[in-house]
Amino acid sequence: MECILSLNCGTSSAKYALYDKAKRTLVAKGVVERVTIGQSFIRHKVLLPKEKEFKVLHECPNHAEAISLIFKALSGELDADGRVIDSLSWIQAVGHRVLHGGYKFVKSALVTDEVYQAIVDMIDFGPLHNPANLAGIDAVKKLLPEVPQVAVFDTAFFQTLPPKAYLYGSPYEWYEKYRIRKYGFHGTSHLYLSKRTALMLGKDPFKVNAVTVHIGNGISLTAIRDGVAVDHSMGLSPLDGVMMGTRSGSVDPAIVAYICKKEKRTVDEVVNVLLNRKSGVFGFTGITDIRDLCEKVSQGDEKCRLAYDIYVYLIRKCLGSYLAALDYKVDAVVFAGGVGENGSDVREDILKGFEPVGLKIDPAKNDKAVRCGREDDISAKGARIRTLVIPTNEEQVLLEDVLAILDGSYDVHTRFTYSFQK
Amino acid sequence: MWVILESTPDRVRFDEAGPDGTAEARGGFLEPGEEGRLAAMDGLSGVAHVLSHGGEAVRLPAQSVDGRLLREILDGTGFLPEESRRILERTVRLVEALPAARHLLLCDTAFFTALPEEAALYAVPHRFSRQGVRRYGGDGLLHEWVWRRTAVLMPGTRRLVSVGLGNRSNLAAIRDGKPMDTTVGFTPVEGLPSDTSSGDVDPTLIFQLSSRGHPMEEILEMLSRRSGFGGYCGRPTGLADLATGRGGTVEEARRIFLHALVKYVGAAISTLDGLDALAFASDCGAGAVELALEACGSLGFLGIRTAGLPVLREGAPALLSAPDSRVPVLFLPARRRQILYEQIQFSVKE
Repeated sequence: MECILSLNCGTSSAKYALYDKAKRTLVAKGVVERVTIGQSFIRHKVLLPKEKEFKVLHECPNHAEAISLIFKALSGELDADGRVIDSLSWIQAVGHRVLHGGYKFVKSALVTDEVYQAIVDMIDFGPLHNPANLAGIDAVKKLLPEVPQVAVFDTAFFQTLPPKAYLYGSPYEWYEKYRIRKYGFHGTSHLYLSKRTALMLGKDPFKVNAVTVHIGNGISLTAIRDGVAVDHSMGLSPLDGVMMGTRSGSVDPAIVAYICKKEKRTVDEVVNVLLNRKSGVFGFTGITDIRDLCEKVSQGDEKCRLAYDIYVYLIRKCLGSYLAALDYKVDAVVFAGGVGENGSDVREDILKGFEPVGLKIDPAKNDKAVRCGREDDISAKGARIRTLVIPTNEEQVLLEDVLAILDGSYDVHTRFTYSFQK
Repeated sequence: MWVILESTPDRVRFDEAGPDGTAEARGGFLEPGEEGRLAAMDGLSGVAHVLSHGGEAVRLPAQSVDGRLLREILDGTGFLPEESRRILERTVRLVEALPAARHLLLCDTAFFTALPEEAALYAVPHRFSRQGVRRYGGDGLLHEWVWRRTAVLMPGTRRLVSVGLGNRSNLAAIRDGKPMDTTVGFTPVEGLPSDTSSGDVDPTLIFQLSSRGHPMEEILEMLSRRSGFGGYCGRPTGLADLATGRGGTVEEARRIFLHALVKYVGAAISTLDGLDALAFASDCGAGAVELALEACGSLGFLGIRTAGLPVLREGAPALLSAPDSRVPVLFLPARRRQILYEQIQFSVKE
């Protein structure tokens, strides 16, 4: 069997998925957790031909060890039951999710020396993630030197943003010198949603106007006009935009200075630790998972109620701002991501009070669109703007980018048709 | 006669007003140590001390103060910026120097102390919220004035988006006279880009610049004084320049500003669950009207129709919306001094 491996190396984790190249089906997936921080382990799940799952402790002081552990799991060296490939030679290509393509990538790319260097050049923008992504590429290169590797960038989809959306009001010289601007993230998800929305509405993919709302651990919203991204809530980094599980979202820059001074902390600590990992829902409540938060809210916890209200409120504001940015000429508002797809309460609360601008959901349809894993139109009858729930599929985009790069048919999404567009 | 004292970053401006606060203004600048000049003024009945940021302590837009109350505010535990402390300490000195005069504190953040928590709080670790890290807003005296004017001109208005258009623009979502949200945050840097300040940025920007060797003070200074329209165009650029400027960087700056403005109007409409009136207040005249009309262009699908450039009469409000517009759009010429006078008048009458 010929296979495609996808890898997503985070700062302390390595997620993977193995696909049957011919059938394009998922064969096995898993994650190595606690890479570089000790007590690491792999959780491996086989899906085909028979479901099987196991966890093995194994120290991974670096990503190279984690990748080699993944290969052992796939080839049955850790546990014979986990075996899905007889030989590493079954792997035809590896696709990496790379966080930050900066201004250098408008689409996915075969990892050549030049592309590798460009990812290195973008480390300033993704100082935590890009090195992890590169470590993954290095590790694969060492173990499978002949196998083509593809970089799929979280940022690429947003290179269509116009300057008025991607420029901050900060000094232009920072843009010229350091390319400080909005880049955007969750690109493969928003790309998928944009294409599927067009299909669901029976519209030309380049005539569709939508606001796509991805609510998972991270939250991002994209304004889509004529099928391309024209604004986006995450910015220079994934910290920007609305409040999330552990991230503050955008805050007054003076707050960073205030906290640095008040607690004698470095900017690194305040931005990368406090605002990225100790803020958001967690900062209010000590809870990160929005499902847990909703549970507490239903039990009447006041603090959790406040955190939930702010969480919803900021998404509402962002949605409202993008509807206006699109001149309210919007075909659909699209919910996706773990919470976006399954949180019917969250969707209902976000959309409350949007009737005057033409958005209204059918409560029964909304309740039904939970954990069914299928696309649904939950709009109320007569709503000018449709409300859709679309289970996003970032892996599908990655897989198709890799396959198309292998067979030479790949191009930027404005000149390329994915299988899921039909 | 009343005197209004207002601090600019470098010095203190004073303006004279008649006994009821309405007379033609005369004024000048008080250099440091010249505060005694006020004591020599004939017929001084009151001093209005303008405080742009009253922190958590000052909760009334116009408040009569004496030395004891000022001390209480200064000694209180609530958050109060350093600059505001200096202004309040000067106020204490003037209250002592001018015991016969009435002293009024006019505070630009007071209106927004009533913001709902979901609009006021940041999603930072909660201990900082307890220390006073929150959205304070700005230009509250203006927005409250806009609400009062709109209530008179458009009776029955409940949900109002009030846009202050100037070199430092900001916006407030108001329901039944109460603030629901605003663009200015912990400091005036957040929100819309201004003539010199950036508006909203990703906080990560500070980390990336600091890792490239820029000290924090420099970064903040750049964000508040060398950003915005001027930072983009590379030369001093105000709102009037944006309105009249054609081509090149000024036009791009105008697009950036309008994009941010339209987004904030959209966000405010979602805050208010709709809109009954939209009011633009400005002392920038025709240029501001042009920008306001352009912003309204994005709201056509909401049934907002504009009527083209109105004839502006000195100081008189103008209707920007067409008769068939679902929501009225007002343009209110707003002079800062006039707003302050009206506030004094209001307080004196009480």
